Amino acid sequence: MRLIDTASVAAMVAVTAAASAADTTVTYRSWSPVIQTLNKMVAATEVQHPGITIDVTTFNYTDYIVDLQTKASSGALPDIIGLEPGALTQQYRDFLAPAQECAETAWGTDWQDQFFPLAIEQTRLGNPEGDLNFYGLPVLTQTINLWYTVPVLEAMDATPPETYEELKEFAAKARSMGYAPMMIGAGDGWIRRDVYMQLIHNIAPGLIYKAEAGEVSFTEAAFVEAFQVWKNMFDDGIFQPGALGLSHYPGAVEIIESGRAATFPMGAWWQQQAAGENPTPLSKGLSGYAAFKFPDVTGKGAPDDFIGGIDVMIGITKNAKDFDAACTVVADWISGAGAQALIDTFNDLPAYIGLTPAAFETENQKAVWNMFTNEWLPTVKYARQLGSPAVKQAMENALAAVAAGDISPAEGAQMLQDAHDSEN
Amino acid sequence: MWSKQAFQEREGLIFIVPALLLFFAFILYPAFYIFYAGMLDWDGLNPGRFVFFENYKRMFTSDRPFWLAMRNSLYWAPLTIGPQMVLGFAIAFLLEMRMPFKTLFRMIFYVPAIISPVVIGIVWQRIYNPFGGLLSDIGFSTGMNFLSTPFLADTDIAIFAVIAVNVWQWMGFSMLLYIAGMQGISAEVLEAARLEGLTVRQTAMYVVWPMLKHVHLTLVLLGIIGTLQTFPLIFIMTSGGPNHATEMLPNYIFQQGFILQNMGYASALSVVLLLLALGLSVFQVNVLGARFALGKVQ
Amino acid sequence: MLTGLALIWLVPAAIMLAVALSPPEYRSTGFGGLKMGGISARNFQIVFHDAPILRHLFNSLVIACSSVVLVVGFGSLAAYAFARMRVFAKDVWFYLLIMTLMLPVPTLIVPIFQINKTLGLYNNYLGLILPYTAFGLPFAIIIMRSFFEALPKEIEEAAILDGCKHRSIFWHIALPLSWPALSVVVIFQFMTAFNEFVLALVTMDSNDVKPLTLVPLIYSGQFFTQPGAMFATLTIITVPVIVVYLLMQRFMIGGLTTGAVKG
Repeated sequence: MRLIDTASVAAMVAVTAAASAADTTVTYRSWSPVIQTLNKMVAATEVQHPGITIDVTTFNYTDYIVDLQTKASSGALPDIIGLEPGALTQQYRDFLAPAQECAETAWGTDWQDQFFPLAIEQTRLGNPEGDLNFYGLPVLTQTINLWYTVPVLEAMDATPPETYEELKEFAAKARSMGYAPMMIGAGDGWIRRDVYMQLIHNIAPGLIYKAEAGEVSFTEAAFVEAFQVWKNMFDDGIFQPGALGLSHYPGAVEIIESGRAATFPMGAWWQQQAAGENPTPLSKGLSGYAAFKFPDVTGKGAPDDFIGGIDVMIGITKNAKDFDAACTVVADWISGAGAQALIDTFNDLPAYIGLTPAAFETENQKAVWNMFTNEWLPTVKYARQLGSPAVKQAMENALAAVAAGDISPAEGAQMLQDAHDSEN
Repeated sequence: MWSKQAFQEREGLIFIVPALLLFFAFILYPAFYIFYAGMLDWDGLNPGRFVFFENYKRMFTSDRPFWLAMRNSLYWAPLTIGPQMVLGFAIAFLLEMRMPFKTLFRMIFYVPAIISPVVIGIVWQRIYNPFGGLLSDIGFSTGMNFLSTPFLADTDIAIFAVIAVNVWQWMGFSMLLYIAGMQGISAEVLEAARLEGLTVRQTAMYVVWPMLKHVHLTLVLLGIIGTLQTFPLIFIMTSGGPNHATEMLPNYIFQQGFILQNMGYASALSVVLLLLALGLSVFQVNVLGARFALGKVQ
Repeated sequence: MLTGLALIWLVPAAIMLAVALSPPEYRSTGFGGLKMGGISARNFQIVFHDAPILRHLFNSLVIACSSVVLVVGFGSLAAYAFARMRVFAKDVWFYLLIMTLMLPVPTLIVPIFQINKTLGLYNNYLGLILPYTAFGLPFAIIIMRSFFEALPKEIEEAAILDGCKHRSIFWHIALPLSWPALSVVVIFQFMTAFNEFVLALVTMDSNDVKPLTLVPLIYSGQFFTQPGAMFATLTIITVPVIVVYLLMQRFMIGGLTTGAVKG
């Protein structure tokens, strides 16, 4: 890091001193990937493309949103920005240059075939009808699912629960041994939404996207039922006590890594715990964790696919001083040297087909990676994200309100419908 | 030629011009700006739509978080100011009476008031967390089960848990002002109280407390300012949750404006906060007037 | 009893230190982090290696101290005029100024950011110094005005008879006498400017000019899943504040005291 600092300072000095025509700086701001990873990507890309200097700034998600809005509202956006598909991208659509041109330059006219299909599909999530532009290009993909702590399940002499009934028994046992049955920092809206998306997917696969399209109402029984199950998970002691007052990052994560959580909701990105500096004993080589699917909550059998999709995509802003240089950087981070550096940190799964980490530390780590990329990811049909910012927000609020007991599940579902109506 | 009066007025104006310039640029213009933006349906990015008083209508008729924020402010002001004054006074008095290591104690109590709210928010989340947190683990090991209440997760309790942290944070500041005030009380007064046969507690309550009226007033004023400005603590510790139970106006404005991108609505909320602040300021200056501040009561 | 209370007051600091001083690969399992897993300074090494803390401290001090100087300067000038001089439409100005006494910073971020950008103050110390000054002025003016009003008029009248102008009375008489009230303003302004972080977040883009309060935010992405490093950062940003307190505390109590005694 210190080295890179010095290098970038030196680079800056070089730019100002020499200012040769080939030198151009591309600025990137995002919440993801984390800065250590990003620094490795920058180094790799700069070696690959001399003449391009990359200036990156990262924030935690909330601060990033504030920064993005302030910059956008005063015409000060950087060249490229990190985006989530759906709501976030749609909010900034008018500030983004269509990126398909860049993709064609980088990968040819059949560029779409070189990505996982779900990644291509979700890039345009929430676009107005008839708008076929890509306002960003997918970098990382993911599934959302549950994880368990291997030594804890061994100590409990238990296997991952497959139905809600099993989950309840499992939870009772975990509690009696002092473990959190399912560790969640439900103070964060996104993790509440992630769990609800899995519940509603479990109960009525695909229904929520129909409701978003206005084909069915959010007040249908399935949505109410999903809210009810969510509430039950608090009342039945499946989530640890005080869950609503805790943040998922860093609050819940720290407890998970201390080995006191039997299971926890997370996603494919949890693999990156192994790649950080000073990993905990459980995270080292990902030896202590295994992924599993959300239990069947209806008793009628859960669907055999996962929800997931794009984790982070990158958009080129209309502000970009040098579109080609910006495009070069984005492409390199998706499939080039920068992408390899990114994947080597297990930050999440690639959106571009054919990338594999250079080295696996343990067999378990390799097995988990292969399971995600070869088995789970190809089954993903439905998006983790919603297209509408208003519904997304209403969902996060309604889940908190239902969990706190302030409103009933039916009222929660009504909140979604109201938000949907307010937009249309 | 300037007449004498005109010259004086011009000189007076020169004295206030620097302050006014900054005021116009960084306060008055932004205030007008939010007043205008408060009448827009606007995401802060794309062109807004003029909706007149639609935002205000929504706020007053159907916005539960807004009313929760108002309710919480009503809790916040007295529950912060009262305990903070009493505790601050008691500690200041005890320290001044007979405490060795006075300076050390002062520092211990005062430091929370100056450290970053970011630090405070993060640490207190850990203290309150009922799973592995400090209070709950003390509760489990001593049998005091009430300590494992999910303080920040229970919508009925959360606001009080946050207020407690705020008192913890600012008590030292009151203490410091009281210590300063007590320096002004002469030793003869205390000696007289002793000769009258008053106990230490009586001396504190009936002799010293009434002599510190100007400090009380200052603390009330600062407490009300603090209530209206409470932001970082809420933002870091609870983000106004769960389900807006700890919502306060600045945080709600921030969430609406930046996280939900309802900049127009956030501006309308800001206008309400601005008017509240204005009303309270004028009230205070009129009622407390020049007596407020650390100068003596006239 | 006081000792017990002081110990309770110290608990958060103890948690902070306990987590920061644990080995980086250890995760505390209870008592909010007080249960340690060995002692190690490695978290501090990580942080010092990754984050130029002193640079950020320097930025904070430049910003806070400059705004203190400006608030004291502009504030006491204006307060003196309000207390002692004839000014056109004086009440209007005064009420305008103090009505913003309770204005919360987050409400005005967007317009302020736009002004900063127009004035070219983005990524510039002045982009924070000037707004902080503007926000601190109402409080300073109220405090100082009431102090000046309480000064005995006789001194000034004598000076006026001697032919002194207001500016020299202000400079040579009023200002020196008012240091107790000034010290309150100084402390208050320093504290608020030093700890503000929302405006700083959007105004300071380059790491070279970011103040210390942003450090946990800048590096929280980096240290998000490294609580030890996170708390080491928190510890490091707390130390300078305590040092500043130690340096100022005599002055503070002294200043507050004289203010209270002499009025």
